Amino acid sequence: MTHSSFLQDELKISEQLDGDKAILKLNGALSVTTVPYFRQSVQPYLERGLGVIVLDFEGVTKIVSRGVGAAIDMAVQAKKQGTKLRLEKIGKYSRSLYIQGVHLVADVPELEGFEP
Amino acid sequence: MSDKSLKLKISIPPVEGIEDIPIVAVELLAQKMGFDANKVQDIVQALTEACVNSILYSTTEDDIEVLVTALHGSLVLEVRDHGPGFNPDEVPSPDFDLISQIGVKNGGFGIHMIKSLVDEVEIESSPNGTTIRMSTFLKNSDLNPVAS
Repeated sequence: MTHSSFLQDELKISEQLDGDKAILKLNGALSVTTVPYFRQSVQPYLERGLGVIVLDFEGVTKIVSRGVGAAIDMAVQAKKQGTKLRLEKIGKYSRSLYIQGVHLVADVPELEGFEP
Repeated sequence: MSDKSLKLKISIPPVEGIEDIPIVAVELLAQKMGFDANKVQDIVQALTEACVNSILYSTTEDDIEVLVTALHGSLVLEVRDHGPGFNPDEVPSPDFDLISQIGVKNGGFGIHMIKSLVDEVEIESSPNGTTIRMSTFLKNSDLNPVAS
């Protein structure tokens, strides 16, 4: 059966390039519906051999564990290619990201010294 | 708040995005009960995971039921679906060493996250469906300074 509906979540990603650093601003939901788009959108930046990729979470309105899992996969791939993946402005999602261990593979300044 | 329990029942069809409706209702209720912002977010996140899993694994068009019971000092959320069920004892804990090397690949850690976010979790599952019951207790440390 299909689970899709007109209520489906949306995610928009805008980019800002600054030398060997890409800032990707996420706006909307990081949900099951949008995770494939999230992966597809970030993949080209992972393949560019950039120094740093920043995922800016300020505009994220909802997050699910699959979305966090996708960010972890990106961080693992980035690390293998010598790129640093940084998550910024995670705000209220700090605890969820911490529980899934994102800080173990990605650079997450807000989780340095974080106590859940 | 009086000692009498307050009960809500919200039925949602198994379609993506509809989970926001019970989630918003529960978020407001948790705020009104006096949970602080961090605890409200924990409750919201746990309910999000439970609802999304129920929608994702639904094999019929039967509604998913979200039952909310607010007691003096506790909030109990139940999500009941009609999916094929699973064995909760077979859901592995995340192996962070392995994940650091190969990533997650598929899925996330919904059950692990839920267990980490609320105080008590009970899961009843059979081939006819799954009920996940999540309880959060209002402790003095969780009180919203404004509400208290």
